[in-house]
Amino acid sequence: MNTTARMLAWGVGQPVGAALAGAVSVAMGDPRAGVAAGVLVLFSGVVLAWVTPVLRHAA
Amino acid sequence: MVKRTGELHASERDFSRYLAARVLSVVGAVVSAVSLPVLVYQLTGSAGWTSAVAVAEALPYLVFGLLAGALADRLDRRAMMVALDFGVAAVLLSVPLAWWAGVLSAPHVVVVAFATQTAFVFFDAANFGALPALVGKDRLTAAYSTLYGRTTVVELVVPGLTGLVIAVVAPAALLTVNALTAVGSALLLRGIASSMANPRPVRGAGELVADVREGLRFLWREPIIRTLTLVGATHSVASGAWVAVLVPFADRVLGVAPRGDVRLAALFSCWGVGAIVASRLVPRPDRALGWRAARVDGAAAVAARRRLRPGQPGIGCLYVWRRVLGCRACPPWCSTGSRTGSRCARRSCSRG
Repeated sequence: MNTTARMLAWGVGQPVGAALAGAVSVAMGDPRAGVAAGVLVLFSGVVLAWVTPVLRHAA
Repeated sequence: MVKRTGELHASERDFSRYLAARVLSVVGAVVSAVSLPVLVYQLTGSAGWTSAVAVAEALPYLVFGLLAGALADRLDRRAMMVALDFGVAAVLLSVPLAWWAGVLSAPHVVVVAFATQTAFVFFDAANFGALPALVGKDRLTAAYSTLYGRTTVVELVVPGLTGLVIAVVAPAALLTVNALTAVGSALLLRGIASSMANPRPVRGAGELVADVREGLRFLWREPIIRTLTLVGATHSVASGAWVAVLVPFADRVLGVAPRGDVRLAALFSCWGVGAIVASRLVPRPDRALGWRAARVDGAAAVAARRRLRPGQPGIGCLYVWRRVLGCRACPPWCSTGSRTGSRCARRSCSRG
């Protein structure tokens, strides 16, 4: 289970993030847009962690 | 008794060789992790190609991770690691050779990045079981402690040094260093006499697939694990994005040229500094905000506390960049529209 979770979180996240940032940077012509895209995804994870009741029950 | 002392000396000698091989490998891997994106950006000036290198370096873990583990359980680990080291050296040497011949291209660099990371995934799978087999259960904790102590120092120091060297040496030529460290690692591993064979029974391929299915089912059924995996994935996406555009970002936003600029060394040094800063800061919101902070900074804590990995500068990097170096340009949270030339119009940016 640990390996599967790590494969999904790390193995999928890294290439998807790199591809996303590259595509956005090229499309917008500014590497800051690529960084911003990554930060947006990170922020969505923060929001998810903040609002989900699942982790509150676990805490 | 004499025989047992002799065995102990042989075991220590083998561990020293293994340790030296691993340290050499990590030095080489870090040199490549810094050199390849800089090289491809020098060749193309394109954020797209630079991110293609990052994608090529990240994909092998996803594609070959499970296969590599299964294969490493079935093959001679030492032979596998030695062969992979020699293979990596050959692939890497193609870059400086093509560069000296004037035929180096961006696709060539991307293919090399993919090939070397693929070799690393298989090497790492073999390496994962090699140390327990080499030192035994009793000495395993001490062995891991020594190994991670040395390699963590390398991961903290070498990125900055590589950035410094890149200011005066072409990154293509610098990849020769990684080729040499790979050869050195292969020779050291070949000199190990002790067994690195799998002490546990090898599982069948069907069992492996069943394990993966069960892992996925468990993830789907357990809401806590599912949520944490999802949050972890968003963190990895951000990390991958940052790695992909770091060099173009340094050039176009921070004004750090990809060649001849020693500040590149400071930027790459932030890899380690960011992780250390984050690991020091994480407990504070935990105390102040309780469980909410624990949720939010969980991913950051994981990133900061796990072993440093080349290509993970962390947000702390940007703080260090502003505070220590007094960078000329604004950090990314200043929008393009708020900047005028190289100066920042926002009051919050004191160094503009």
